Amino acid sequence: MFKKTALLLALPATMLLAWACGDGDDDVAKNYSVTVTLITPEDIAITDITDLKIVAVNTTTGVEATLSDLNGDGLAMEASLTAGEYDFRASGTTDDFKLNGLTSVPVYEDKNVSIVLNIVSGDGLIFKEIYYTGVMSYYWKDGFFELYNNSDEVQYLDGLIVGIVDGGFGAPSAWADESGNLPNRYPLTNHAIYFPGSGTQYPVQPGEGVVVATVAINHSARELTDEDEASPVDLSHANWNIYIPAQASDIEVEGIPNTKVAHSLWGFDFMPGVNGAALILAKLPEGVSVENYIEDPNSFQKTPVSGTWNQLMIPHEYVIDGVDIVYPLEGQQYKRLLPSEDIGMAWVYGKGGPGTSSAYSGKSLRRKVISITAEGKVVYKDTNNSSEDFIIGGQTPTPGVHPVKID
Amino acid sequence: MSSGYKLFLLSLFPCCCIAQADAGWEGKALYKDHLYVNRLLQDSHNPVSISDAPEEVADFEVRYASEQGDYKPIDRGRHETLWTGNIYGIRKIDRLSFEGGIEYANRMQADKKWSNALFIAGGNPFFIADSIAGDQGTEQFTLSGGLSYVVTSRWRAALRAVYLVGTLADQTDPRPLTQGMRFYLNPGLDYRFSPSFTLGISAGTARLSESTTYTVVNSIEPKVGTIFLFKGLGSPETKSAIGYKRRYEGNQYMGHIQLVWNASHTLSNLAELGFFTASEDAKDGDTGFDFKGGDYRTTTYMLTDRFQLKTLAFIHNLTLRAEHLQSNGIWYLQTQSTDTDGNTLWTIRDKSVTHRETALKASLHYRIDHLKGAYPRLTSSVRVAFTHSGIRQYPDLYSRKYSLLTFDGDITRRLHVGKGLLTLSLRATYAVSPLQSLVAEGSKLYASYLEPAFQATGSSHYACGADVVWQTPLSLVSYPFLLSLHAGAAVRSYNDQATLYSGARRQSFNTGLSLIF
Repeated sequence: MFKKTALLLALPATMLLAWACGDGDDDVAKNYSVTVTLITPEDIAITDITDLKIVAVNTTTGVEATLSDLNGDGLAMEASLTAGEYDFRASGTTDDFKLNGLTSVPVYEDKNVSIVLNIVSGDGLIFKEIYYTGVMSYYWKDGFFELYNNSDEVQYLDGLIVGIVDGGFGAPSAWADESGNLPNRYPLTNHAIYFPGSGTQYPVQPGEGVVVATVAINHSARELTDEDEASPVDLSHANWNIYIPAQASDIEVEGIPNTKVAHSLWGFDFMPGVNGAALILAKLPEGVSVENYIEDPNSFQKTPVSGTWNQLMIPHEYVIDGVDIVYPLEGQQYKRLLPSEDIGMAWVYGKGGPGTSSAYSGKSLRRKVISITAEGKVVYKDTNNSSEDFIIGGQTPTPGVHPVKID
Repeated sequence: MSSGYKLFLLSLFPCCCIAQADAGWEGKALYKDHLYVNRLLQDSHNPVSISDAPEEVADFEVRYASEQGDYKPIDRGRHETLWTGNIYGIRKIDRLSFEGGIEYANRMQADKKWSNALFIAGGNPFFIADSIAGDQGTEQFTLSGGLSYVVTSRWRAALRAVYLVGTLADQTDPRPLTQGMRFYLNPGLDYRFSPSFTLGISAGTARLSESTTYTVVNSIEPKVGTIFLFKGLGSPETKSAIGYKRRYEGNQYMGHIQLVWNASHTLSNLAELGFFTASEDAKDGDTGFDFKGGDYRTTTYMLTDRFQLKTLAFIHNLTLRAEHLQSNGIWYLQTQSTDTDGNTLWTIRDKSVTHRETALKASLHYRIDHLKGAYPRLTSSVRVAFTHSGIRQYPDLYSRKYSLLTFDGDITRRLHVGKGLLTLSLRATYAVSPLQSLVAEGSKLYASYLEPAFQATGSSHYACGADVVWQTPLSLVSYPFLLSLHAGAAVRSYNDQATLYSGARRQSFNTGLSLIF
């Protein structure tokens, strides 16, 4: 009797203990070995490249790892990485060219990764600074961007299009295909604007900047009430005013020329949004005017899934500069621009520092200065890698002002 | 929770209301001590112990407690107040014994930040938190009930159930609203083989459900729009708080066997061996909760042995406890995509253990009760406890280790003063930490969270406190009851090398009254 009862009681206890001992999730997270090889353009040897830098950026956590030269010859680089989704970014220079390349690769096992280096096009007009964050209370009309002639030749604004690239907020672009690949044409949202002119009417001299204001007035003098904060910018001396005629609330400013509207979808004014969006500066091929381009139905495409808008599309090869501005929280940063325009991403932090929304922080994104010539011309960094070219986190806006020292 | 469970619990509840006094008032006054010394299974996991209650009792208590000071776990408020009201009772009807209670607790924590969890395990590394200090309120309601039935002279069977619900809210941006529920079922039985030996077995299962939703009223102020998805020692992920939702689902299972030995009326021993295992899975999102916020798995093996020696004047209890815990935190690497309808999808790309904790706890407790008549007049106890905890974070190989050796002592004296009984207690604690190590400097929030959390957890400290209880028999419309008033105070001081808590202490005070029938 004793034995039977003991067995009766012990059996379920033993079964429970045995079940409790089981542990099917015993695989601890580990690092993987990644070897990166570089593929250079024809006629450029790896040994011709100086300042070669390769970083692996975990696109979920934002953590960057710099790769080390495996054999000392620059051909193969190696890193030990945690599992995740990575952007492998490479950049360097030769005597004649700037090069960069981007490869997005998931790393969940040991991997070999190839990065194709491309010659970075364009030394002409670039975005020197972009201010989109606004100030309290919910004041964003003090936005501006500044174009800058970083080259040694005269550039012209005539016919250049400035657009905000569509893609949603803190999520992968709805325009990407099933594999996550972005399209070769950039969908523009909000208002796409352009500069008037016949081709040589609006020159920009080397080392000269052009401030384009959402509303070209002195915003720092705006009357403040309650929780309002003063705007950090006076845009009354801007070179251009963005005027959207269809919006009754928008204004023209005497003495300051207006940009023109290529295509409008929504919004009171030109608004990248207080958390930012990718911007492009595009130049149509010779002989194609903006007016002709927007008359062509092939220049438009319906919004994927919803079909809400018929959006103006700009082929990526028309882009002469682009900045992939993203939301400042890691894990919610998704690219909108192709590597040929920008292999990196840039963002502005909020007043609370890293990890906070940039909204109404009163800060702008500005390119780093890499040199100042003997004649005083400022040369901004332009490697088509906004992560490296811009001051990440932001700064106090400086429209029309150029630094006097190297960043 | 089904309505059937609620009805079952409610059916147990009246036992504590209808329990009547049938013993002397001194027995009622000291019923908690009485239960301890007369129920060898008191602290076991087998609910058949309900049958061992020596007498019936009904206790209505209201209590207020307050504590403040900087020597505190990092997730607690600088100043806390706690109101509790509870009813507890034991009722015996022939072979059937009931034990049950209801408790309402209202806690306010001032200057509280970080974790917004309510009922998930304290060791769960996947909690959700914000860094903005605010005043946080927590309401908790506990309904518990158990019944034990003497089936035959050899067999007893019992069932205990506990239902716990609560809410946590903070009206400072980002504003968490956490709602949680735990339901616990604990059946058990035992069989007396001989006058000397009884073998028992008990099981337990519990269900956890908890959700947190954030709202942000002023979304553009610095930091207030940000929350952190913690991953143990690893860098937490930062998310926008606006509308962020997390939900936990969890289960617990446990099993214990008990062997009771009674050599005579004077010598007895309880040995209990058991295990406890729990799972808690976090999911984030809106309607779909598609983002996996981390799975937590923990298993504990435990051993308890309580030896009791009764003489005419003294009762000695020597209790040894040991438990070994291992926990795993499983993290999922996921990628976001959008389906053809525009819905956000998360695809799991990898799954691995990123957090592992191993802990060992052991303690030896000795209590002596000096009796006068049937009741203890003087009680004293000493305890020495050892805790070692080690956490490893993968793949970063961060680690946290500490050991803590704790010595506790207390003495309680009960005096008849006038018609009442005055109980005076003093207690003291000295804890020393021979091992402390935290290696996680590369982790985000190391300085603001990990380091202060660690220094508060495994630090050397000392504490002392005193309590006074005044109990006197009264009657209301010829219905006798016992009025019990109590008050206590304690202080706990940091006594270690690290600078963050140098000179820090925490004071507490409590008072309350109870009516015991």
